[in-house]
Amino acid sequence: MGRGLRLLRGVVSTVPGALSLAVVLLALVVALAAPWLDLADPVAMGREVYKAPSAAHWFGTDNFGRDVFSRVIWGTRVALVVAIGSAVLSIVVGAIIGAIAGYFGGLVDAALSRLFDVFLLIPTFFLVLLIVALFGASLPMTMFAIALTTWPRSARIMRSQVLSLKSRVYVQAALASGASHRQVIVRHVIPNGIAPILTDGALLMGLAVLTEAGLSFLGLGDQNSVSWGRMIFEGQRQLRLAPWMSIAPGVAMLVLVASLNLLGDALNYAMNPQLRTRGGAPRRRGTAPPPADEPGEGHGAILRVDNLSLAYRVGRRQIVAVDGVSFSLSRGGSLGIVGESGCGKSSLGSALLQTVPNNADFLSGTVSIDGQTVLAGGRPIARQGRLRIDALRWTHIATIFQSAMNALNPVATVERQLVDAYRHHRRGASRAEARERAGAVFDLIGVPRSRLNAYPHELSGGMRQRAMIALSLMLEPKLIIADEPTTALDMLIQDQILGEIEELRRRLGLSLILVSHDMGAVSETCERVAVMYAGRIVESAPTSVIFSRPSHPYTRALIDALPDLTGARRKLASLPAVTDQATCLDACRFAPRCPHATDLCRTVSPPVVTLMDGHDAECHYAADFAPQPREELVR
Amino acid sequence: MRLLRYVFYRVLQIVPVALIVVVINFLLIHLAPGDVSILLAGEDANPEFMATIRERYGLDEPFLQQLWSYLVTILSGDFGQSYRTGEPVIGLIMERVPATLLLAGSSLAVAAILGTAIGTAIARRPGSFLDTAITTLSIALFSIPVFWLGLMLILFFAVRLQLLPSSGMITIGGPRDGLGHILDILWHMVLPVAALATVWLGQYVRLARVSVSEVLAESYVTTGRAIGYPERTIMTRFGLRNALLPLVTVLGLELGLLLTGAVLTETVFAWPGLGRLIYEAILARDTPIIMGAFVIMSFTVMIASLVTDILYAALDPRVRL
Amino acid sequence: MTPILELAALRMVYDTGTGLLARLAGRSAPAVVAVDDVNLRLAPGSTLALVGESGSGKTTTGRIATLQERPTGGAVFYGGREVTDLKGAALKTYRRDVQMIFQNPYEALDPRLTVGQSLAEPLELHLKQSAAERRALVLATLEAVELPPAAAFAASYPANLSGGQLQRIAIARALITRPKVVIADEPVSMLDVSIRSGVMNLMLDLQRQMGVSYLYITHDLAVARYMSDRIAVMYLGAVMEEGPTETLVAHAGHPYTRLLISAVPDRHASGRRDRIRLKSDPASQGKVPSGCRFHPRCPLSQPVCATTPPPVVELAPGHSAACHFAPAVARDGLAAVHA
Repeated sequence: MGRGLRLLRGVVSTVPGALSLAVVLLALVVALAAPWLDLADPVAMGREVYKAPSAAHWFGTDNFGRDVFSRVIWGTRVALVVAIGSAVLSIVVGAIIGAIAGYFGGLVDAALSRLFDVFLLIPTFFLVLLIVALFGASLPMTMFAIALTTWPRSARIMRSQVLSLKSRVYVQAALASGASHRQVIVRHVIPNGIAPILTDGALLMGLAVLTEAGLSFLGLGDQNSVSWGRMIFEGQRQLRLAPWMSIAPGVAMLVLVASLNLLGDALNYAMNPQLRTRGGAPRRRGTAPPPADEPGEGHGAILRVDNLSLAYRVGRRQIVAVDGVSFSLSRGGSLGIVGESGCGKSSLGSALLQTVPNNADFLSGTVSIDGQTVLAGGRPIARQGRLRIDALRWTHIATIFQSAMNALNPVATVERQLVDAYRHHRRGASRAEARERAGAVFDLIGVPRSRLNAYPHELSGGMRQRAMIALSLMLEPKLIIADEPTTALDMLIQDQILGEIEELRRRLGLSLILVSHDMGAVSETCERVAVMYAGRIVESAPTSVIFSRPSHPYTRALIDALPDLTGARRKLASLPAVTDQATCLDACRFAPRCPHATDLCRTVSPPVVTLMDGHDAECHYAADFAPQPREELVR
Repeated sequence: MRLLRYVFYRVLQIVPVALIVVVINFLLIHLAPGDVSILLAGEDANPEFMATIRERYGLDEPFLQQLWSYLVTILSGDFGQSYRTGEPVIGLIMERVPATLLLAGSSLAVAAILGTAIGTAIARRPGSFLDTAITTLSIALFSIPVFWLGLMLILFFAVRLQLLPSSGMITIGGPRDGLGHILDILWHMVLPVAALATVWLGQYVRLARVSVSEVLAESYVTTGRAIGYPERTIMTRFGLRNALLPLVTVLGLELGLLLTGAVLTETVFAWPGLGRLIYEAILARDTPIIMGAFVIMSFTVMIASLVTDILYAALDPRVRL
Repeated sequence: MTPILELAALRMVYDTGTGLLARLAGRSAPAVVAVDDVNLRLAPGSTLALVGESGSGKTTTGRIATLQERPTGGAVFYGGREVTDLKGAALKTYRRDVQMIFQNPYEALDPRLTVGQSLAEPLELHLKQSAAERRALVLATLEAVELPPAAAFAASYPANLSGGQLQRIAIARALITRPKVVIADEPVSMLDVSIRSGVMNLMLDLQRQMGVSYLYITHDLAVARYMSDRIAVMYLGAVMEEGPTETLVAHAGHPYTRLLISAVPDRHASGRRDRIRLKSDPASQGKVPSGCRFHPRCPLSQPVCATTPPPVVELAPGHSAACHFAPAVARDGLAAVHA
């Protein structure tokens, strides 16, 4: 299956991954080939005792004159037998029991989960030790005892996998189309859930090697086998006389266990590549000094954006998310930026605040906020080592993020977050003043002050979003960027909150940028609309004009794709899905989906056509289109 | 008040776990080859003692009755007698616990504090060379068999350099009280703590790296940056504060592993703790001590996880339900 | 005409899993009433839209209709026969006839299987066919959902397809056994706007060709109007209003329906509407208010609403609303009571 190959490629693409895989494979080969290698007998005693490492005995000899190198090689066999044996046993038992617990849930799950928890809490090494002490030390017993204590770990992983798989649509769909539970488990659940448990297998093997060695070291090893732990156990007594007796097997064990652990780590990252690089602190970017010709605070437009471009580095590829965007926003004005997922609208929003992720690069662009340039030629403006945007954040430009649970710090009360923000920018403001301001903002947005003491998780979705709005208003910013502020909310609450934002904007004389996928939401809240497609603003106009005279085929398609509640029921227009976006650089990006595309569109980038003052569209035929009535549907 | 109720429920949840541990012990004794009474009393026990044992554990009663007697005996703190000395197991174990806790606790403190600091530092640059190198190194660190590391430290610092003592907790004939005594113990602690803390440092660097970078990817961190907080504030008030939660949980859950490491380390350094007791018990086939140690260790871990859970609840407002 | 699917006095109560310890301490979590006395009839070849917000019980109702969950009370009838407790072979046959389309297209297909393998799965379950017949049907169905070239799509893996394409394939899988009823749970809400309309049009076309009935679950009243012949509006587990689509949209008799209508922005004209300020955010699930369950949020709420559950008022044949003031609301809208 292609998936396994992809996983393998993911593992070997990093140095630690490739090295650890090589070591593990080498250990396997050595262990299998040991009987055929030209090695000294690992158990035969010889005359040459306590010989230091030499050409004849690479790792020296021990107190019985046995060759340490040969014993280390044979020890690999024991280590891997224990590791593989106990891991396989643990995974098989754990996968089956975990799948049963997760799939059927209810009482079975409750009882089994409690059992897994018990094993999580008891110090398993001592249980293994007790079992081996009571039942006799032998390799099979060691293996069995280890598996007995590790299967709940495999079972837990399988259980959580199955719990998440169970609600996957394809599992639900298979059940809904009549497949039996057994068929679904065998065909969909186990094959899709097995990967993490196998990955954990590498870690389990490492643990087993260490456990076996620990037992042997305490004198509970198999007397008849050559194990690394046993070698260290014996070497301990000769530490001063023949240190090589304990050094060699310890190094071997360290290398094998570390490789197994690194391999598990690499497998985990290969399955979830984003885990490796996400998060982190913002990267320092090359800065520029403030330009001489800026209007200064309080002058000019509240926001001016000129030729802004932003690209993400993904692997070796560069993906341009924002491509030469220019616009300006007048003081007190409101602009809706509309587009579909991946069009670059959210990247544009975070680019204005310079809160872009680390893998994003500004390619070009000048941005000025309230007459002060914060980005010029794609470089952040800084003076005396301080970024200018830092001084403007929250006091001049604030943002409202999506109402996802996570936009507020979960471990602090709402009041604490409002107060902290206030006091960070108003140096010297007392806690009491900040509290009063927080209360005043809550009054302003019509939320009872009693909710200030709540933690974010104690609030409903709508209230949480209002708390976010309150946070954004704490320092009386002049410009607010609201990025899909109502998307995750219910219809009625969405409508309420949009209304509240609109009302606040008018009352406080704020400027607003509303980033949204919803033409409808924007139509009521914003004076102007800019439509984005594939990183570019393809049309911008006053809201009434956009709806009455859309001049870019994409804008028209967006409007005609929305069903209405009033008027006749007309057939909705639809666009073909995108198969591959980046086709030809010198072409209209929308051409592959455009119902009116000509050869001209497929070969030449369209110019910006100004249809009237304040109405621009980027289309060869912008001036030629007349809205066509859509077919009325009869029921 | 809500916290109190949470604590109450959490304590209640421990009861079944404790029972299961005792039941496992009981089952193991009965499944093990050989006569149960010999297992409990020792091969060299005299007939009278054997009879007392049979009666105390109700070994002539039906199976369930036996289980009951066993539970009652264990839960009343009676873990039987050592074969060798005839002393009660519970006393022998309790005598050794402080030394083990001293060793484990100090190593944990060193590893957790240092590990969190290093892990947080590399989480600022995920995917960088330094991040990959330190992560790889930390994985290598916790792959070291701790007892072997102990031997190597002895070899280098005690045998070769003759800098530090290689075994024991105090110098024979050294000061027995006052500052001198404390310093003497600290002096003896250096190598065993170094061994144990090194292995655990690897674990903590990795844990801190993973949970801090996870938190830094959350959108409330972006909110914090948009507000304009300096990166230092972001790291402490948002990053570390939220990342501490998973760290504390893991700390509680992996205490069993820490104790395992402590026991193995003690064996190497002849540290007079539980590990040494267990080691000697194994050599002498003194089963009651091994069983007693298992139960006591389990209870210790359970109580530790209880404490960390309560700590978690105190740290995270979302837990108190 | 006999409805093809009928839900009668349906009730679904979830025990919220009070722990043993909590129960011993006398601390029991209240049961959640997800669906409360719901009666719905779906006529053959028609579409009934089930409209509601999160927590309204619309999805649970859909899951009961496919018998993925069994109701705590009430009955499900299919073609006039009760099927509530169907098991074994009869259940399997029922599932061939009553299929489902889910919300999330990105999880709709097993990532390890090709599109063709996924589409063949229901056929393998229900029909005895040769591999060649099966393949022909798979390709024909892919053509029917407008995914040419069918052979190329059949051989591709889900990871390489877009949301719109995946949802078309999910529709193909639901329709490949030629079911009589399809329950569609928000099938377009996760798709981009320009893709949505294509999927909706496809569903309408296929209905015309195949005569299948849809129970179309959505939170969007405008989408419901586009897709359905009748609409039922649900709130906190109960049906607030039900009627023929155009009548309901034009003459809604329940304040909740009126609010939902007013929350849909007019997409073809700009400008401000006067928003009605709601009294409160929705009650949390499981806590159904006394009297009329909508009264804490209702702008028209009167003392009687808090105490007495409203009757179901028939406003016109086939159009009914559960509100004390339904006729007035149907006539005067939200101005009804104040005026």
